Amino acid sequence: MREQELMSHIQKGDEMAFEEIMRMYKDKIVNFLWRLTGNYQTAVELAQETFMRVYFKANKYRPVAPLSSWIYAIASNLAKTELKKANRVPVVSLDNEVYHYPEQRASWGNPEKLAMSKTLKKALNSLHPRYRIPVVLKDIEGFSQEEIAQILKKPLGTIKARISRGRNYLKKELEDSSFRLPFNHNKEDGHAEI
Amino acid sequence: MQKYNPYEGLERIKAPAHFERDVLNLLHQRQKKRVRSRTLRLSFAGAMGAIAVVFIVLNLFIIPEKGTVEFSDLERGIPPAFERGVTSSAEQTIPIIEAVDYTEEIRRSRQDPPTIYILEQCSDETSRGIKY
Repeated sequence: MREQELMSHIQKGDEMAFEEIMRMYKDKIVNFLWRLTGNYQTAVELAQETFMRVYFKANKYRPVAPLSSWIYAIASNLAKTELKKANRVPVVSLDNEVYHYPEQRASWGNPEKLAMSKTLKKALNSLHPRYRIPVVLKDIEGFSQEEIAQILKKPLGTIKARISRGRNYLKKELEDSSFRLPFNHNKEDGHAEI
Repeated sequence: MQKYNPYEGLERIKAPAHFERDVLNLLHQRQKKRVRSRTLRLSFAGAMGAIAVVFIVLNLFIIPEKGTVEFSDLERGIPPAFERGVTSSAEQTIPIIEAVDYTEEIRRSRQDPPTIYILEQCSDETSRGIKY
């Protein structure tokens, strides 16, 4: 409800409401875009552009879906365009990467888990955006498959298939690495588990 | 059985410290740019409209319509009507199209007895004025 009120204020040009929306979503959107592009600077620029569009296209927002879906839809469209423009699937070398971005919290204390997390990130970055976007939305951002279908404007069956393929790819990548951990999918909630 | 989300181990990043301020600065720049481009667009549209109006006014009221040029007049050395100051309204040409059935004419001429004209010179003078 609060978000809808804020949106109606933004539609009238209220910048305070816009700032409030930004505060609510900036970290999530930057993080999401960083997962997709693999570059912090690009992620921040795309996040800025996302919020620009939220402000200028506020009149096009219809409160039939959650605001988060709408914002993520804008962000994922921008990310897709950016990836097409770059015409590449970015693979980030974690060994050489300079971490100049602020982390929200430390990773696993256990070195083995930390290494697995790095491998998983690498695998995610090497995944094609067609599969990466639904997997990130589902497993990291926590959207339901129906919401993802709405965000990406694809049929539900397509989304389910893409998530499944993406997860299988990640599973294979993890198995190929030194981490030969059992990687199953929880049928009930659709979350991956080990 | 230990159960956890493997993605939980992935670090999450934050937006830069001055993210909102940067976005608002960008927003103000875009707003100015949009106002400028809207003004420019409207000015351009207005200028084009004004040109169109001037063109129409000149054609309808100020520049007189030139009349037709007749070859017969030119052969006789008479300047065209619009040079003589004759307005086009005075010289409006009304095209009349009349269908003529020549077949009947030919048939009729065949039915008539053939006529032979004998032309004979009646005077010794050269027939300067006589035209056959």
